[in-house]
Amino acid sequence: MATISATAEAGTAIIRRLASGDLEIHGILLRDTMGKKFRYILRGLEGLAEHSVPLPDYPPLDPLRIALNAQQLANVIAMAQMTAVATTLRHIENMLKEIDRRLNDIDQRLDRIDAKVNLVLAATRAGPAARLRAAITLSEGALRAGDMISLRLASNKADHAALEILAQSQHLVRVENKGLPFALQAPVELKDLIESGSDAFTAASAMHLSLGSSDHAVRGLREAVVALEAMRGKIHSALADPELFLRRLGRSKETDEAICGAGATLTRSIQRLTGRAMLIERGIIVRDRSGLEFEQLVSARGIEFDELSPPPDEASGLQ
Amino acid sequence: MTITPLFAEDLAELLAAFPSEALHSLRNILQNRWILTPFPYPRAEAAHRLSPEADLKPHAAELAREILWWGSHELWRQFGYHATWKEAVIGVATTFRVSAAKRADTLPVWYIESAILKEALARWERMSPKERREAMLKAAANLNIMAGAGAGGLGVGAYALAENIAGLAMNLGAKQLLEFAAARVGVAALGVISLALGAGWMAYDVSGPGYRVLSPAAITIAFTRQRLRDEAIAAAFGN
Repeated sequence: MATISATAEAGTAIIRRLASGDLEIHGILLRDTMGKKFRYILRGLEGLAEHSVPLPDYPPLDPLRIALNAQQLANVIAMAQMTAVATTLRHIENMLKEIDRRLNDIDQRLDRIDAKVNLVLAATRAGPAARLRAAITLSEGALRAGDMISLRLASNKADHAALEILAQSQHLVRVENKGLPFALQAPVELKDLIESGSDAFTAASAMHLSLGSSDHAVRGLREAVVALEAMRGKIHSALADPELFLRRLGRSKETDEAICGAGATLTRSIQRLTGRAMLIERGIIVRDRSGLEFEQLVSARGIEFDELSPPPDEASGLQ
Repeated sequence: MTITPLFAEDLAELLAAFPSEALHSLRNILQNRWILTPFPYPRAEAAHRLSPEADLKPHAAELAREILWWGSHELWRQFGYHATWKEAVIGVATTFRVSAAKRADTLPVWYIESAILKEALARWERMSPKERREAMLKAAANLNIMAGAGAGGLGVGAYALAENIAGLAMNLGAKQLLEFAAARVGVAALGVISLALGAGWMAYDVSGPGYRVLSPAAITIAFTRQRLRDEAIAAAFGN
């Protein structure tokens, strides 16, 4: 009985801390926000059925019922879902804002680059930025209200934005300045565009997954990978082409490092998007009934409290 | 390969990052010159004795020491002072009449090397096809390949190759010559081209025996450094 009462006490403590806001739920992951000292994994909820099931008829929750009464259990589930909605929203929102910030930075930095190319880039840049802002606004409301139609609209906008950012980075590679891809003169911009495009495709795929359209999510990711591979091939050929040797003579160490950085980002993005597509295809990243995506965890019995890093005072035995 | 060693200021450190084929080119340039001196001469004997197919990477430091010896003043050497690679390169840049702004000692050595390579190519561009052919053949002959080359020489067959290159190169402008060197030639031809670009035109503007080694060496090093930098960043976009 001592064990049960300890678990019940801990469960109540979680509910109290969720209510006070000092504990967040990331999908089915609970994390202490105060100094990130503890991480709790709430297990048993990942197998909830799509249709509504009376709690007493749901075997994975049996251990929880021993520890918590029905009201407490309902509170835990409801709060976990609500907090997770907000957390997913924040995640997507932060991702889109970061893309927006990067595009604005490029806008300012491109002042130093050839005016003609700058104008062309400015034209393509305006599109994705506007669409991203629209996607942010739409997804905010849609995720909070569970409005699937708005979320579908938001996902379409995010799709367009992702494709446009990708087209912009392709443009940077396709446009040549005296025989060299322009991207080699603006490697930092190329890196930012690739990162932004990769993030935008990830955000769009998360929305598609929330809408239950994993095929659509995978297709978008695969298309992005093909385009990124083509960009990588084109730059690689340009760099290996001896015809351009003289043009590259006198290039600074910083430029070389920035080009290497863009190459590493491109490779990492290809791996990341390919990996994400594979994880979705194999059902490792799945859709939750609440319309959220999370990484699937191994089923366990009831609530488990995994203390990953004890607070320093407890670890040292000091009070 | 990471790009950091390719920006090294120290010659031994830089040559350690070079492939063996580039070191062979440098060795051929060094073998082209011999000096009679009563003072110690740090010749890379072990490297010079090796066959043209041998791996010269373990001998990079020896070759660097010999190159720097050519860049040091005879008198100062007796007091233990040896020139750095940057000092030697600035000396070469001066003989090539590279502008003072492009050979300032505050600049990185790779930048000054690039300026020398550009200047050498500009001079090549101004030479007539006949002068270019003569420079090539003279360079080939200087590389001890006319007849009975030693262990480090290129041999009669290679001289025939050099003759062919001379015939072709006389019609190539500077840019095409560089592209040709970057794309299609091996160790033997790269040595000939470097010598023709560096020592060949020096026949018209002799500044001292040291520069007959240092000029082609600087051009070979500038060319190889740039080629390796290109390969390193191309690798970042490889599979």
